[in-house]
Amino acid sequence: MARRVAIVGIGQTHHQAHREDVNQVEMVNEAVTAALEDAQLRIKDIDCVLHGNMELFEGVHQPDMWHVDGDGAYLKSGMRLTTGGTTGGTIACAAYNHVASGLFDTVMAVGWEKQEEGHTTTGIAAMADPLWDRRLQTGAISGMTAATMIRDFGERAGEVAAMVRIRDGENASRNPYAHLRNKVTREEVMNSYMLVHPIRLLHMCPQSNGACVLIVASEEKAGRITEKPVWVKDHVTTHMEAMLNETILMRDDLAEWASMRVCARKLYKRNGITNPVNEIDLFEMYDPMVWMEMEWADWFLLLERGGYLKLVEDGVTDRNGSFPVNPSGGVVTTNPIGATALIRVAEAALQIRGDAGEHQVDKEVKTAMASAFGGTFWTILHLLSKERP
Amino acid sequence: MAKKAADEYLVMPYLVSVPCNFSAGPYMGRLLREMKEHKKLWGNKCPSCGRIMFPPRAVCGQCHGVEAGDWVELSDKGTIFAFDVCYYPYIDPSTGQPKAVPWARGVIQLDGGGALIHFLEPPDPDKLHPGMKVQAVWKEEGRTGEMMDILYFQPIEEDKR
Repeated sequence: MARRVAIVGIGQTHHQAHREDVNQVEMVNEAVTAALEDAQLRIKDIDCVLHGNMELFEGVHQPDMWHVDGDGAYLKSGMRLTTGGTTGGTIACAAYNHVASGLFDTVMAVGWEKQEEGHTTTGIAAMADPLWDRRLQTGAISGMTAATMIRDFGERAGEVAAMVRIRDGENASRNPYAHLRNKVTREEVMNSYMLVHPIRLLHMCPQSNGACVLIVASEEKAGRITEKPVWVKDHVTTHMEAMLNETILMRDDLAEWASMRVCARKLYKRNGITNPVNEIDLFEMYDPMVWMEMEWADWFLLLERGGYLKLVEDGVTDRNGSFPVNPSGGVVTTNPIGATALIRVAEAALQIRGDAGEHQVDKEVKTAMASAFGGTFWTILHLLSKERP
Repeated sequence: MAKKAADEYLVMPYLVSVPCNFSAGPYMGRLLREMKEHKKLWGNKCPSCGRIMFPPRAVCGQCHGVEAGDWVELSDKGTIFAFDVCYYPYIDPSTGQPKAVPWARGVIQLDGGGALIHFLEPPDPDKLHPGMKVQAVWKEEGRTGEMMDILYFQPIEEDKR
């Protein structure tokens, strides 16, 4: 029987395009210090440190060795995990598993990226099959999602893309940790530079430097550490095949088997959820570009293709809507990749605690969901709750 | 942040270049050899679900490790499912060199089964569209047994618009 696990400490850096003022170790330490302060713990109270990022982005192999001074792992148990974009989600899953298993009581999860130090597009392209389609990579900026949304919904898709970006900018302007905190207009989105047709600059996430840290603890420890534990109710990981052409084609023939839909079905079944938009209070979603939120949300929320467009048009996903999506400003405004999926879990937890500050949603948040995305549509979902499961 | 402050920070430039040699194995190896020697594309079939796997491989991941069955010769003509056109300054990670923009690529569903991502010509969103019929343009001389033995796919004459 798995033990109950709660999030008891949350910390993150002020994510930015430039952090030449610190090295990696020092940047990671900012988030570690913030999380320890949040939990009112000292590093001696941590049993185990889990560490993750994308090695090829900065070109440093096993950076967890270099980072021991910053993350406090000296002579502690620990593990390094790296699963592409899902890295932050995988670390959160592993932190849960370490405590739920009974082997550890207090575990710290550290996700980070310092993108200015390397070449992210090369790192991402190097994930593709070197014998086949690596040369065809555009890195993170793939236009296929947008192209199929425009194929199916025409100009309406472009209008909704702008609405999502405007909403994210509004939310990010209230989040002191977000990277792109400026509000944007429809015209600015529509006229921004064409990166990869049909993706414009303002449809796309930035390259951020930053770190995020979660501290999770067993029920017994959590009761002593905090009055506001956020419970990790469940998590599900779903993998896909490796060939990009097959994952892109899943939009038509294999839509029922999209990893996001399979992952969501499993999570909802295990937790008795039949109508996620009504039964879950909030969704922090890993969407590297607005188009991906627009398409993938149908799969996550078990909607008909295009069903999510109407939710955006009707303001349902706004910070004060009935189903807020990315009240933090989301990935489109902040993307320190190895930290990004962990930030989704952290932000969902802050909303449940009521500690999100200026970007706290108006409604009470009892249940929140967070997603992670990586590589060829690998998917993780976390379900968090205010009430003890 | 003020520029003056940023100038005080020391940043160490460092270039990583890693020569690699990847083994193709018998399945991918046969496809690459057929491309090099005969300008032909081959896939293989999953005996359990019947789908054509392209590029060919040892097992069907969807059927949880069912060993691949018959080889199937595929067409080098097909239909564009979706495409994009790259305009931003791009460094080709396999060469380290800047790549001339714009360049287009598409997901191409081959006639009779199989699909791949490949370059499209012309790289112009007004001259390409989903559903368009395209065909492979092969490298005539000096094929080496790699995906780039096909230079790109281009619209079949009667479908140009």
